Amino acid sequence: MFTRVWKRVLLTTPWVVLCAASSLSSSPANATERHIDYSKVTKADGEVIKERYFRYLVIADDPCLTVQSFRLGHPGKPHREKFVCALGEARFDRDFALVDFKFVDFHDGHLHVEVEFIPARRGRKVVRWCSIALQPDSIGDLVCNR
Amino acid sequence: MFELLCVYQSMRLTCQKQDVMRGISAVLGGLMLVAFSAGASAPPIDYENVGMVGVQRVMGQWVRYIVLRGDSACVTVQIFKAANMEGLVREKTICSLGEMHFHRDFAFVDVWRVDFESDRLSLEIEFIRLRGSGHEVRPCSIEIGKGSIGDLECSLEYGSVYY
Repeated sequence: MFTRVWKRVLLTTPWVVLCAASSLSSSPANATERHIDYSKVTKADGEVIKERYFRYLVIADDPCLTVQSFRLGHPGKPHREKFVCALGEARFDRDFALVDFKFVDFHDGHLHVEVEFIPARRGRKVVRWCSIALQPDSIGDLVCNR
Repeated sequence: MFELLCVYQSMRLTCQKQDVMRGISAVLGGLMLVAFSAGASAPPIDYENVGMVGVQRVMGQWVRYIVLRGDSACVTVQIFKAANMEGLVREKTICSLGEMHFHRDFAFVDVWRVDFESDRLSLEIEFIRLRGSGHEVRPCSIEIGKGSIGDLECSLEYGSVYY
């Protein structure tokens, strides 16, 4: 009886591990395969920084700020892409009634953003100056001054 | 009997061939019609290739400008009913300054800056002429009316014509 159960465990375990691994590995892939409705873009601009063309996009009905980098001469597919949808642990769609990217500009290897935050529950609206570091192979997180 | 059958079969084949040819010509005709009618209207905007975009409320309507990435890109101006870019009222793609076409009559045209004003878009555009030396950066404007989009006007002298 024990051997039979042990055999069953041995047979099923690799499949369980494989399924768990594939579901874990698929999570980041899904995160990058986010659909962008380019026809609803309301703000965009681009600049060449350290041999990459960086572009930001603000899309209507989308709380996130999209930042993309392209290899020069390859404008078709982004080399890196980041959807800035949170400030630390606070998510734009859950923890704020409104997040408005009022002013966005490239300066000194960074994307400088003036953001208006209106909290979902209590509190007054706050306007903060924030920045995102842009490197040839990485797009940083949103960092705001206090 | 056999010969008669052959004649009948060959006639049927000829008819079938004619039908096929008619079908092909009809399809080709249809395709040409589609191609010509598509050519008559403005090509769709390649939104994935946007380089510079801005939206603002002008005269009670939502106005968006789009400049695509690429050489001598045109300026598209759109008027929408809603802030979320729904309900397109008017659209105009501007690729020329008067009679001068960006691609045909200039070596290079580059839109540097676009700003919103109360009744117009004010732009800063770099023009590089086909002949001659240097480049010129000129202030330009596109008038916005109630449901209307004007032409590009710049303070640029080209030959004996002042645009």
